[in-house]
Amino acid sequence: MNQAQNKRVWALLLLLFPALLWLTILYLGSLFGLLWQSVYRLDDFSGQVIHQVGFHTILQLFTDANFDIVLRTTAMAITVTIAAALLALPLAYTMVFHAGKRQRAILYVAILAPMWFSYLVKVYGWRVLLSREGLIYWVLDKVGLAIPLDTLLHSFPAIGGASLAASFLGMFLVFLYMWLPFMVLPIVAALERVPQNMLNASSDLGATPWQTFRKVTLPLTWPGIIAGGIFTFSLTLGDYIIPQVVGAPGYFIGMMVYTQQGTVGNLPLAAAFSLVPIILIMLYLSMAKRLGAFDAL
Amino acid sequence: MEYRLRSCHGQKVNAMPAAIEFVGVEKRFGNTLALQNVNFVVNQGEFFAMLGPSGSGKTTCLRLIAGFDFPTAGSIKLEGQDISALPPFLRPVNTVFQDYALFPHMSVLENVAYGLMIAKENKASRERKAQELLDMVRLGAMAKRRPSELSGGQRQRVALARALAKQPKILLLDEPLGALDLKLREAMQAELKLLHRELGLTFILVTHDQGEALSMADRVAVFNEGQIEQIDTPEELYNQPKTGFVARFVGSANVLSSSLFSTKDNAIAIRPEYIKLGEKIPALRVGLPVTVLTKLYQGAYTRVECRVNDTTHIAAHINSTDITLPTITASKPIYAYWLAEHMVNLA
Repeated sequence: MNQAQNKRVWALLLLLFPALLWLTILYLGSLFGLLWQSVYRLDDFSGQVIHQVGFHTILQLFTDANFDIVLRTTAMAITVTIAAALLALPLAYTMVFHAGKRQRAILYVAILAPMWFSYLVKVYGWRVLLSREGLIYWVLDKVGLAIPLDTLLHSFPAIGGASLAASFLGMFLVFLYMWLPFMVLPIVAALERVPQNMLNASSDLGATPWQTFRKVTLPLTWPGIIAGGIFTFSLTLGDYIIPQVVGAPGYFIGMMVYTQQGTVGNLPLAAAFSLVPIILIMLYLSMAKRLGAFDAL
Repeated sequence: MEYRLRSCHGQKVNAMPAAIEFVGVEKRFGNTLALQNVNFVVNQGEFFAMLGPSGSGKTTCLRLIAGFDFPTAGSIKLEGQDISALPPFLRPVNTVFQDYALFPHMSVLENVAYGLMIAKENKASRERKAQELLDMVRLGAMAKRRPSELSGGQRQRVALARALAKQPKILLLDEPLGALDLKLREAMQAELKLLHRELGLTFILVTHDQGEALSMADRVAVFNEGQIEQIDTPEELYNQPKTGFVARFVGSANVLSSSLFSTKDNAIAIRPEYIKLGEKIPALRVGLPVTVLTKLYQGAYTRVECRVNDTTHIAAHINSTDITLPTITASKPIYAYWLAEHMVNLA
């Protein structure tokens, strides 16, 4: 490389240095440091971490109790993602193709405004809303749906619980509320990039609006949906507050990581549990690629 | 051409309804009037061009025919039937878009077969037809590629093949050659003309390039500010422009007041290629004194711009091989003259 090129490389490295430092040491470094713990194990008697490399801790993930936790969290993450996508699509579609300038601005604010508020305030607010003394129960009672709701909550162990505020259904609703903006915005961005002319071309060739949506708009929007899905999926997998505040008994991955590294002091197990979301996200992305979600990129 | 038969009672009968008919069409966008009382007829099998500068309303007309927009007043008829309110997917009309609008997530073959797929034709049959169309536009080998892997000219031909797949009654072309370089454009003009003759469909072309309209179309409608100034064959449009705008837009023209060289006072147009420059005005010619301003070499001819008076300039196209050309220099007083029959009276 000649002088000029050399200088450019140095200049570039200098500019990138803070970002590279952050990325490698603070992020990747600490992440690796944590995950490396998962090959060690905790001695049950002494409560000390044995620094011997082995797969003992990782295998512990597959015990009944632990595996239940993984399944429970994954199932919730999948349901939240699908529900968020189903809710966000019509919303995003309206925002991009049917809303006037002013309406779209109002919708943007309506979706983004919750993000200005504290996470804890929102979660506890929902717990109050969902509780027996809360607004939702009161409204349902007036409409006469209180008893069906109770029956629902008590007959299905998978979604039910003592009350809405202490059930998986309640947890699902809160997750959905919290992560919806993260799903809407990428989809809006993807939809905005679909040129009007392409939709005109599809219509010109004989496709009804629904056919145009299925064959042209949706394929072009998939990257946006997948991107939104990454947010909802990973945020749900890692969350440790919502399951504690609004939820049925039963641990979630996030809670396990929190308690294991904190109270229990079992850092290896906490690290092992942390591996799960990472692997699941990688599976999610490879499945999405296999299904052709990134073809339009 | 309009086909006219005589019925048994000797009356003129129009054997074939017009491919497209605009009746009193008006289009408003908010406060702007994009089209104002537009009336015209496109005959079946014709190559019809809509020519005009940007904003003249020609693209709006095309969108109204395709169905991407609807007139605020008046009606549009296709073969006699009112289609003004029909959505695009119900009209037997297909469009070649200016930016091609190919679907990036489908292969070239799938793009061309798209219309047939929507019409629920089975896969083998529609892929065969699509392949034939691609062969016809000489892109047969590109069937499995993606549009992003093709050049501009190739994409344009894919767009053309896609629009022809459903054998529409009318093919609309929205400035299809705008993004191509000159040589490619000339080649495509010839190809489109040939295609039109082979297929026998009605082609409606929108362009701002008068050379394109003149070379390809059977008839041209010249648009200006939402109205049609003249509809005629290319030759008549060129030789008999009815207004100053048409004279200036179609080919270049010099628009003068005849008071400059005669006792009458009306507007006339004279094409630059008919103007000659010389030391005096010969017999049987009409002319006036001018001062040469600049000489612009254009290859086959040289454009000589001359000043008549403070408000009037004229340009003459002198053959570059003319032996008198070197004697014509800037600031030289000289005479510009032409044959009276080459002048056109303007409205």
